[in-house]
Amino acid sequence: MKKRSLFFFLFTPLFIIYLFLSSYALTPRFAISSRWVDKPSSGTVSAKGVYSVDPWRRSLVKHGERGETLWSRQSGSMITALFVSEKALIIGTLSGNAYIMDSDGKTVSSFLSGGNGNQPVYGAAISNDASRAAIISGSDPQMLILHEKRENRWSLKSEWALPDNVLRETAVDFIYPGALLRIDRDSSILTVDTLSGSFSKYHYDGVYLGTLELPGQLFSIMVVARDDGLLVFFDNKGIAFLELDLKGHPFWLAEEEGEVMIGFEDRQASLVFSSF
Amino acid sequence: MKIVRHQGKHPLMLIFLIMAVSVPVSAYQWPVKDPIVLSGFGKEVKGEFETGIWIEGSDAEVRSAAAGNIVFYHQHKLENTEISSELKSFLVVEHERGILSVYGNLDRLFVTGGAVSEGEMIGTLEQDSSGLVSPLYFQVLDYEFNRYVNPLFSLPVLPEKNPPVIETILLVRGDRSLRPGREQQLEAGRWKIYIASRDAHQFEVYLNGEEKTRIALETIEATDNHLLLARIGNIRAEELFDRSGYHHLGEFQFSPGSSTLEIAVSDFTGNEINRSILLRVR
Repeated sequence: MKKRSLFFFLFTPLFIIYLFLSSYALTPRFAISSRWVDKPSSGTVSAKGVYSVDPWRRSLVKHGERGETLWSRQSGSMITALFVSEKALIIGTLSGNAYIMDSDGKTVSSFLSGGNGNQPVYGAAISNDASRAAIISGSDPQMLILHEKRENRWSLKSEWALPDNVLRETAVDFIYPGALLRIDRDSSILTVDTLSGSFSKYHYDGVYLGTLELPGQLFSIMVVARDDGLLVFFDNKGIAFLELDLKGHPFWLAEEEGEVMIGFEDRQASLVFSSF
Repeated sequence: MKIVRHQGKHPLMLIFLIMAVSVPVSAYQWPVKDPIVLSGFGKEVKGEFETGIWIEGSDAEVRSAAAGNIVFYHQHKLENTEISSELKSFLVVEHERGILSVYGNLDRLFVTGGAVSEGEMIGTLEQDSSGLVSPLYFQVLDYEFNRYVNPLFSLPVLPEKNPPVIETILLVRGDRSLRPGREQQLEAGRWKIYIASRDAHQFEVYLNGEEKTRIALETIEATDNHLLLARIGNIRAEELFDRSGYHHLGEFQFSPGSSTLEIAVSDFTGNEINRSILLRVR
């Protein structure tokens, strides 16, 4: 506790918290039965950009500043993974395909994971410079697959068998300086050194929201939504340096122009980290 | 479409044999008890095809329709995701021959991995304080061919007592729209036929006894850009549903003279209703 407090007072930035936005109207999807309450909205807009996946997970939509549709791309299979970086985005599907797209929705590369049988994509990430893509696919063993772009061509760089299977959507993040990958593994975080292939595991209570690197900060920020409703912020050494109670269940974490964006069902929170 | 589950047992072997040869062999079991199909495959949903069915059961238990392995799950409001889901919590089970079944709108999941056996309880539906149970969303996908298959093909047939209903037939040419009765006068040329109906699974159009088209809500092909109702010359939802509340059955040439237009609509259990129209084409 002392260590945390010391860290807090010496190094912790000033946190200015804005809670803003908006209620996405919960409109009924079907009028079959009056018991169908709590229908989700027509799509969750990510703070990472203005992308959403339709509620049936079949299309990816890019929105303009006022929420208008700029483009829409239909997927032949259920979308099971989505990651948006500064220069590109990647989606993964139930049928095992992963597509890298540019910000105009043009598919610049695609991969088919697995060999025989259905190998859904559970997680995907693309680095901010759009030069590396990581995909988690298959089961028994579940594989972490790293693709790299060289001379404008994507190719398979490495594959690792992961120590366990997580058959849901799984968060994957590239961490500064990009040689590390952080992967959500059900109440633990696996950090993979893509150069040496070594794994390290860190346990936590709650839901891993993701890891961010903020401009001007020397450490990455890992955020976990604890079961008791608190958001816990960890540095890249796994030390918790901030706990916040923003009320409600957060669904996603993103960085936008230096701000940490946290998405809830009916609102978003923005946190600005300013160094002394 | 309201289908009441058939629970009776037939003591006579003869009846059993007749049923065995006349009813498709079902590969799966109903995932809910006392199923009632609320909404059918291939219906229009916001300009796109419905690719599954909604089933109401008499209790909240959801069981695997066949043996298989869990390949994907989503726990609504418990996961970090930027992907919204109409399915709430859902499970995807892979069966033999590359068939996937999706169980959506679940409240709780009982399994999140490994093998499941036929009839094994895999989750529950939401149940309110008065005991009302939310419906199950059930989808069957042949991923090898990237096609959604009408789940009623794989499930035991439920007898449907009431035949489908033809509400309205429209003949449309440019700005002209006719609602024909038993006899209709019209000008020669190409006319579009629209039909508004209830509980329809298949539409057939005959002109002077010759089959002109057949549209069955059986399989939907998922391409990178569209969902296509599989038939001769696959049809897109925006074509089939280009007039709100109607199915567009196609455009046909009517030549001068008398012709008989017959439209047949059938439900999944084979109940059929026909409408015959004598066309006097000028």
